[in-house]
Amino acid sequence: MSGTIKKFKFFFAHQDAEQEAWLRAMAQQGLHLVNVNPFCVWTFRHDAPSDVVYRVDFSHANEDPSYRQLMQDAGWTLAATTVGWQYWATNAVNGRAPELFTDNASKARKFKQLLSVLVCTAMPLFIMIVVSDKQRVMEQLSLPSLVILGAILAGYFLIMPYSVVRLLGRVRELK
Amino acid sequence: MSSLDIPGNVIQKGAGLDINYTKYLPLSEATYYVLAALQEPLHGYALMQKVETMSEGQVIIGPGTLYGAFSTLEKQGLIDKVSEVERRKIYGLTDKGRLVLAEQVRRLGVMVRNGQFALTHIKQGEAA
Repeated sequence: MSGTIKKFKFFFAHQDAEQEAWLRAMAQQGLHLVNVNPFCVWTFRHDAPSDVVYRVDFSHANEDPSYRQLMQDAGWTLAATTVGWQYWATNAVNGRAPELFTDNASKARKFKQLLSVLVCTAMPLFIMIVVSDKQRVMEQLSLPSLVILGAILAGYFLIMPYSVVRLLGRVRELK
Repeated sequence: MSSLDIPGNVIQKGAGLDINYTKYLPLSEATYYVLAALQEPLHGYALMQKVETMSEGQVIIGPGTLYGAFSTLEKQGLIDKVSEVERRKIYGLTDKGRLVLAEQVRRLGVMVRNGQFALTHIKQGEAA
């Protein structure tokens, strides 16, 4: 099959609207999302261009069969998932873009859920760094691998709080 | 038929519920329409369509919002699951849900009267 292409594109955790707009623009060019991995590699399938609307969600409701049934009834299909993120797709109706969440209270709940996931996943790593024997790690690792490890950790601990702050802003906006 | 199971008992029990209305009111527009649409038991998607029709297209409830509203209302005891058909949960109003909706409707009635009074008052002021 020559029908798929992969693209790398990074988004911050709070950039759900940006992801949705990008995916819709891709579908309008005939590139339909089929897969995404945690390293921001997106796989698209070549097909006829169509106006597909994507919505990002990270709810646990997806584990409930009755929720998946409701989504299916309402015309949504799950295009892709990755580490707790769900990418739902549906066709735009006369240019109107359907929403999963239609009031501020439920939108705020969605972002709070993501916030708790971000904080919960960062916490163990943060504690590990604080309690780890840094002296020993320094001695055991070569300089290049130390630099790489340091860069990854520094990057993570810069990006994560930035997303958290932006998400807190989104929740406050909705109140 | 024994004299013990009088159907009236159930109604009395419902009416006698001690409800702290401030805990539930005011209902959000979406929640209000969910309760109002559940005067007959419905599953999620049927309810979404009914609300859109009832509200003359003004209120559209997305599936994510509806799912959250269902679980909150069920926890609060305002609705309960009547049955489940092919993975579709069918919900109906409880006695408590009906009372909360009735109290909201009563308060909205007062609000509408006050609003109408205010609007006619403004008109008269403009004319004078």
